[in-house]
Amino acid sequence: MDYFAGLLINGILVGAIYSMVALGFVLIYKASKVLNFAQGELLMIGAYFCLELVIRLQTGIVAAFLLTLVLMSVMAVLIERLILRRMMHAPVMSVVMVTIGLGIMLRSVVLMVWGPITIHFPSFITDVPFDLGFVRVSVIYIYGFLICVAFMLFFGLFFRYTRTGLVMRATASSQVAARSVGVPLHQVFALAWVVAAIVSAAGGVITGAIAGLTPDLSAYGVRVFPAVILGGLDSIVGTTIAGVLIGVMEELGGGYLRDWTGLSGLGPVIPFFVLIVVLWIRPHGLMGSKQIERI
Amino acid sequence: MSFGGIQALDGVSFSVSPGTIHGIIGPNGAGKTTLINCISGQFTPSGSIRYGDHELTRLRAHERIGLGIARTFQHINIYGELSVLDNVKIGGHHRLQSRWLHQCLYWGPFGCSREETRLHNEAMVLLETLDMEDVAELPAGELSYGQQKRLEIGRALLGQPSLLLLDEPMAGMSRQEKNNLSEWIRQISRELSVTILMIEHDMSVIQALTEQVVVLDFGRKIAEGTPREVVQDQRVRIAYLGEE
Repeated sequence: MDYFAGLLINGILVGAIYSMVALGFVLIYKASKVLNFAQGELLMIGAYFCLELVIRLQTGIVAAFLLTLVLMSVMAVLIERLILRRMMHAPVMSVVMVTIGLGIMLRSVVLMVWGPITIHFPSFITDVPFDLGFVRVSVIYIYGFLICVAFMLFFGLFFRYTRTGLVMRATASSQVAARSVGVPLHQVFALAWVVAAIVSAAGGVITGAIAGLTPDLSAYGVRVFPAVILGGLDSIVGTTIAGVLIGVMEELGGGYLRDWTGLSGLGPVIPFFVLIVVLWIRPHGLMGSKQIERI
Repeated sequence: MSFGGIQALDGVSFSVSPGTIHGIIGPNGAGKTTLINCISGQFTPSGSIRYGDHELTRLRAHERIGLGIARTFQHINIYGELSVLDNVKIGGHHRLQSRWLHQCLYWGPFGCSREETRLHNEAMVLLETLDMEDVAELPAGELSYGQQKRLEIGRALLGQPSLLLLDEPMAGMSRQEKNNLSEWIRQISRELSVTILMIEHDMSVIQALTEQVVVLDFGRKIAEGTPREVVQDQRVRIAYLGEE
């Protein structure tokens, strides 16, 4: 029971991070139809920014975290302004290739500056686990989970209730029609990148705080992909649910498979089996829009 | 204006007087929609499009609504997932004074609410004239075809346009629906003093509604005049009405 509960809680936390990072992925896709393959690298670089701020400025984790989000927003605006705006009318595939290149560059920067080793945050939180009654959970997991929920709630409300959110939803629905009512598309794209950078960085800091920082954090970009597909690629609610599902499957599956087979590291493979099955039987995912070809 | 080797528009030149309803007709592939896309900024043609004192080809698509140029689309292009009300409200987006950072801070009843409330009220009045106030909160994608067509015009109207570009607003409608919509378009033109440039295939609609007509064929203007003059033009009869 304890084993199951532990895996489940782990899964929910990992899943919440997937959901949050996938939100950024889906947002960029919805706004500009671009698959952002630099999402994992944004997550990685966000974590390193925060680490550097904590160590150099000695401001404490909260201030460093907030400052990281600001830095990441600036970086997202620069990416849009300097790289993507020139490619507004380029074929989507070209833009996708550019995001892959961007990811490789960011990973090289991290390797140059911080090296391939694992670096840990100076400990800033109590090690004493929190007792939920039936299982004990380390405090950082609880904080991590709450941060994910808060971010997703915040952005959910933002899209639903603000004028800017309305503009973004309208752009996602039809770029041409949005432009005809006076929406500057490049601003919407920039904002989508800002949100994606913020949620990625948050995910990076949480993951980094739990497991330490390595350039391998960038693998999250690929690891959220099953959640994105299961959610339906363009559905934010679907992606949120799928993220948690995938996280739980990964942890539970990985845990029990290790016991049965004696092989560790099977967990991260499970989401990709799910990915393949989803693409076979339900390509539009849980809640994505069905593509209807007009013939 | 050309795409690859195809000359979609070739030396088309005409003018539209303010306050009139102007028709564009021509067979399929004549370049009618391309023409509207050039005026609204989807494409940038070589040559010149002037609106009042402004050279339109220098302005980007999203800037043209600022001059009062609004449009609808041949294939329905509403925001299907958004509510009917939101669809209309976003039509007035360019009229908002607040900057976008401020717009991020508008949460329901707070923030830059006066503007939003005004826009909301205008949208509701418009929906009433469209007979759609009951469905205001439904996703627009659930409306009937005719309602979606009218919703698109409603969205354009909330931008308070001085020039309204309508791309086949009546395609696929029944005679009765066409009559109602024609009446509404005439009303818009008269009461809001909006200049209207519309593409339409139905010659009876063109004859009833428009004052001037431009006829396109293979990207060239082949005739221009009042509807009566145009249908009697020999080239038009050959190209469009299929007479020898």
